[in-house]
Amino acid sequence: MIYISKLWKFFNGYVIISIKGYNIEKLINKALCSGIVIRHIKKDKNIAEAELLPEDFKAFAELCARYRCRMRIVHKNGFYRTLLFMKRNALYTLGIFLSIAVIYALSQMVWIIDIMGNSAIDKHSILETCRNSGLYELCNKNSPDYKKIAEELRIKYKNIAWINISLKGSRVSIRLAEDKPAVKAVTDSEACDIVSTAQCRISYVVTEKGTPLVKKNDIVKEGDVLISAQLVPAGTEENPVTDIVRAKGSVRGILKRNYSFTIPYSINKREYTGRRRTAVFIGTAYRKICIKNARPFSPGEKSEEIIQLRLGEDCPLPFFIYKNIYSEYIEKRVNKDIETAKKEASVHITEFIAQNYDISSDILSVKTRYSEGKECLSVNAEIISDENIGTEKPHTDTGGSTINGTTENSGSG
Amino acid sequence: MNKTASKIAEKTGIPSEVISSQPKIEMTGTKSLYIENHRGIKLITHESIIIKFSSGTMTAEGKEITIAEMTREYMLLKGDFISFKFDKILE
Repeated sequence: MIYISKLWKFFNGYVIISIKGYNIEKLINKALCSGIVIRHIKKDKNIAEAELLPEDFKAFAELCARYRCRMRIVHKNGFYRTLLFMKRNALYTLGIFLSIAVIYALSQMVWIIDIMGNSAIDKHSILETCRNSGLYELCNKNSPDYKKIAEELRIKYKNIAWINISLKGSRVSIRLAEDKPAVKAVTDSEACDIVSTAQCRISYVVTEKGTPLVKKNDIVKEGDVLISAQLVPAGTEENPVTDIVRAKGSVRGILKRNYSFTIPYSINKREYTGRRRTAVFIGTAYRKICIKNARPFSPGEKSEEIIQLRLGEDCPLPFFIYKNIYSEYIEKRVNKDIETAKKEASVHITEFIAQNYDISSDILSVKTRYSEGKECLSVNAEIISDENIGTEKPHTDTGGSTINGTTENSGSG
Repeated sequence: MNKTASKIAEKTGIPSEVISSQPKIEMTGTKSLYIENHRGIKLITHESIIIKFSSGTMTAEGKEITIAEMTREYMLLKGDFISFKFDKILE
């Protein structure tokens, strides 16, 4: 109700006046008797302030003169006054209307696309599909058919169990649930052989279940059956069992691997001068506008930095600042002597072992042979290791064969 | 006249402010005061206001007293009111 009366007051317009005199109360009473509506009367000492309707102003001014009060207009307000002001200040008015238009236009765009619930499906892939269907950052929020896009996503990604695309303000939320593949239950009843993963000499065999087909010092090839799923009765049992089981056991073998590489005596090393140039671009994920350009160095290195603009932590904006940083360097030729090259080779071999050998593997020996060339040192490392070589493979009737083995159980090596 | 009107109002059950010019005062909290049947103001300052009625005057004291709206029929006062005092005209 208050707001309606305020609105009514604004449309009618009003004048705020200041009255100075000693008979203000009498003046107000007389004005009331004359039917003049006075609002917001405040008085301090002999100065009062009040609001008047524009049509009562003239009558009140006459009364003021009669009661020897001085009246002064403090402020005029109202719809008509505002219109007049806007007419006189066209640029200001234009600015206001332009701001409203810009705010409206910006509010009609999609600013943020949130994707929630995806783990196997790549976010960028979903965004690309949405883009092809007409949903992208800064597009008109009313133009995409969200139901159709959801359907397209469901068709494209078979593992989407449920998807919902909703628009809240200028934020599009894509929420989905993925189908989780059923974990295949591995049961003991499933028949499996243990086969060799590499050609090696057997160093250790322990069988928990199944029939061992190799013994210590046997040489096996890759794919040979080490422990068979087929139980073979020894002949001494009262009730011989000839079942096919899931073979279990541990088989280790001694493997020999060769690793060859070269270490050059002289290399080009980059030495950075410290000079840097930065090119700055601003834009969306698809378009960039150059703010500050920079020429790359020759020779030089380029690194990129992308900063996403955001309003607080939870509100990322679809605008990015791209920085291309160019660093200048000088290429310097660095020469190495043979000892340094050998040391480097040793480090290289250690790194190779750390990266390529399992933690359960034991390195028995590393024999390194060097051959000095004109421009580089050729290195050949022979690595002998003791490692697990057995892996499970579904049982087949054919079985495997050993090069030099028997079918006796050797126990432990 | 007032006495007669009051008696009639009492007998008939009609609100006395309707048939006589007796003031009707409504207060909402301590911030707003609505007065009907007034006869104008005698004095107004920031801290006090004296309002005239047909039967006497009322002095309201408080802080930052303003007349929000004033017509011949009613008056709406705003401010932080502390005390009221009525002075009756002896008849």
